[in-house]
Amino acid sequence: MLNPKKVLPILAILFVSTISSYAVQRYLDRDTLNNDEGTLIRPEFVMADLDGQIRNIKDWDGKVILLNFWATWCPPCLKEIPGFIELQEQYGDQGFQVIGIAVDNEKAVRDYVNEVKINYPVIAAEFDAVELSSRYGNRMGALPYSVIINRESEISNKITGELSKIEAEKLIEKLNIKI
Amino acid sequence: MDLFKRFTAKSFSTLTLILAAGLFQHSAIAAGGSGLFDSFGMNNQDDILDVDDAFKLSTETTANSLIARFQVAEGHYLYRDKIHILVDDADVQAGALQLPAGDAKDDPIFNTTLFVFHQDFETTLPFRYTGNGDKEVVFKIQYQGCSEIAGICYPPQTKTITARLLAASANSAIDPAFAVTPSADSPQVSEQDKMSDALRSGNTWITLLAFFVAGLLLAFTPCVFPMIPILMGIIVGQGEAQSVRKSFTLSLVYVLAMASTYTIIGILVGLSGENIQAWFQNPWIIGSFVAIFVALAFSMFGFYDLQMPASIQHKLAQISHNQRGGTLLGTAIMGFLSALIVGPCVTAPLVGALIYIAETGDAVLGGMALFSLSMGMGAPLLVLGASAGKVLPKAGAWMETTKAVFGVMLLGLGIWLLERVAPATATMALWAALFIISAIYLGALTTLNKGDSGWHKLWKGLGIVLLIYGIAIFIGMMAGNSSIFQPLQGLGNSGSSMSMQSTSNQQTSHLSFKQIKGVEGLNAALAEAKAQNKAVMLDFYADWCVSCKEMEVLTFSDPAVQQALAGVVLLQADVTPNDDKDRALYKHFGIIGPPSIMFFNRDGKELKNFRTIGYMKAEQFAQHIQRSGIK
Repeated sequence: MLNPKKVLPILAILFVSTISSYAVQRYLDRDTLNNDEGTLIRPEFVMADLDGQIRNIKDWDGKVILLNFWATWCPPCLKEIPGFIELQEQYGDQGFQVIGIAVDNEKAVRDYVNEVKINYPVIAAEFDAVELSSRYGNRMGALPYSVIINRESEISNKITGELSKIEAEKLIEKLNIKI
Repeated sequence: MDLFKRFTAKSFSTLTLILAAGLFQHSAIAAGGSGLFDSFGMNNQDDILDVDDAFKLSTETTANSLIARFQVAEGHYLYRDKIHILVDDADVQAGALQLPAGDAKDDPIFNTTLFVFHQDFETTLPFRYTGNGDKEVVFKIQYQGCSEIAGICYPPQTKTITARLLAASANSAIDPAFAVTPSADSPQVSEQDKMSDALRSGNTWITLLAFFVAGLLLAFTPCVFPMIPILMGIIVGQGEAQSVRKSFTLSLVYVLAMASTYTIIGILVGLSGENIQAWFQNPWIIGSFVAIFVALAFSMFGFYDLQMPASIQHKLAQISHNQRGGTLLGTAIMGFLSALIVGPCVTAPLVGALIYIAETGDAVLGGMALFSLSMGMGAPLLVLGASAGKVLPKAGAWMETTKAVFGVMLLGLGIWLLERVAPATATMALWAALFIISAIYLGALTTLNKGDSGWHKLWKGLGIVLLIYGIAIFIGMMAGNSSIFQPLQGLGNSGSSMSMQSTSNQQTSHLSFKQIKGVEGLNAALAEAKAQNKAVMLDFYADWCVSCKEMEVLTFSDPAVQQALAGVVLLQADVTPNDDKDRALYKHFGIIGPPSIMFFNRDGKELKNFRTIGYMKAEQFAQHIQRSGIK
């Protein structure tokens, strides 16, 4: 027979340790997501783009990448896109690549891509895009969210909110793109 | 009273909130870690409000509605058209979501006007619970918004609410205490919704048109029609030669004055209806109203006359006669008074219309409907005014027919009311009887004689149409259908419903996935397929993966996809638990997790170029399979 007096403390310890380990886990997650030291290899993903082509982030290894999470229903996201189109146009031949990941439905994205003539690959993924952005350090899933990846496939910057063309140029200049 | 207690307990049932998106936070792999070059403050997400602080949601459920209250932080907004409440339960019929209008937000980027909520607001989802027992029902509340301060938008949010709904039998109770409780009127709320919804949609116009036509018909009843030329004389003033313009203006003033009187009555009745509505739950009250409708109908058939007491009519008429014709003010007063002098032909239809409006409980619709009705009634007068008195048909016995049409309409209203308490079979039978009997009155079964007029033929034709419709309803009723709009549903088009059935059979036989677990499970299944010389498709699935579900419902159900996959071994890894074995499988393929679909050729080799991630439309997916050439 189990003695309830003995079982209770064990349960209490189990309970407290579960809660605290969860809290620590969350705290550590938060920490890794926010620390500004050290580098992190960009997480891998494979998704089909708007043309039905399967895209692996590895396909662009060796390039300076601006990975931009956006949506057609997000006004600040749409503001920065013309700047990205220009960046792609101007620095594409130096090994610079913009990639758009839309947290949105395919039709809306396609219409918008055609309307403003986006010249870089765009993946529409709705919910999966939210998850992917969180894997890229977007803790709250806020949009727009951009990540700059260097030629060594390391994440060098994470930007929440609008990223202007000038700011983006400053960042990629440090990764040896001639402005 | 026990019932009443049960009901109040139900209104404040406990709710549980689960952040669906939170599931993903658990699986968040340690990512992040910025480079040394961060020179912008923007990357610090600590400055941004958490989405749950930006938009605080609280909910409350009643017997027949879910109310979601949003507190919107300053400088933030939610998109009106992105707010949805979903309920996926066979026992819950949801009405249209009631949302405030919101603020117009012009966005030059969108080139359109969007509606958003900057302030706190609440939204109500009316529903009807038809289940027999108490049940936990899951509602999903979706919303999406942005922060103007931080210049960011939040990802779409889905919150899950679980509410305990009590047995439907409680809702149809005869307990008067229950019946008059305004929020207890579960079927009516959805009706009301339909009406206010109709106001925003095209249906209003149909309702208003119906009232206009009814008004026009009223003008052609024996107690109104012969009065029109006389009325004209009174309005315009006798003996003087009037210009067409003046006679038209005067008749317009008269008609508008009459119409505004009716409009006010409509609004008042609509407003009172908000309270009256709850009564329309009670079978006894419905029964009495049905009896009133039948009585009104019989008066229209000429069994007796219903009208305002003669003394009141006489008094009003006198005041009216004292007004001087020819002046605008005098004419307006006459129009106003004439609305109050309700003649024997008008009484019954008007009472019917008013009950109808009261039942909808919609003051705006009530006002508009009665305005349309009175404009219909006034239309012949306007025509007369504009044509200087020559364009009206001759009075005659046909006017009695118009009266009878109202009788039939009133009986229809009675059956419509009865629908909410009586079983569908009974009301279907009544509809069938109403149509068939009307058809016989129209001469559907009488043979035409050679000398019969075109009108006779027209009526007989109409009669036959009604007869066929009535019989169709009757047959539908026998077959167990309950819709008078599609009485033969499932009977006449047996061909197409058969084919639908066979498709769904196909679906189950074709897309029955074999479940696998872990890398060993996969290898075993692959080896088996190789032995059979068959190609393989592997689908990563999880309950929490939205696009997996989309694939399942929209893509895998498509006949073209099923055809493309014929003869292919279908494997599914259900990774809902996301345990070690599942993660080993991700690692094996170097993927993040679902949704992901892989194809293997007959040799058991994966066609890596044909991996798909995320949702793909049926057509696209079928093409994708073709291109992979696994077959």
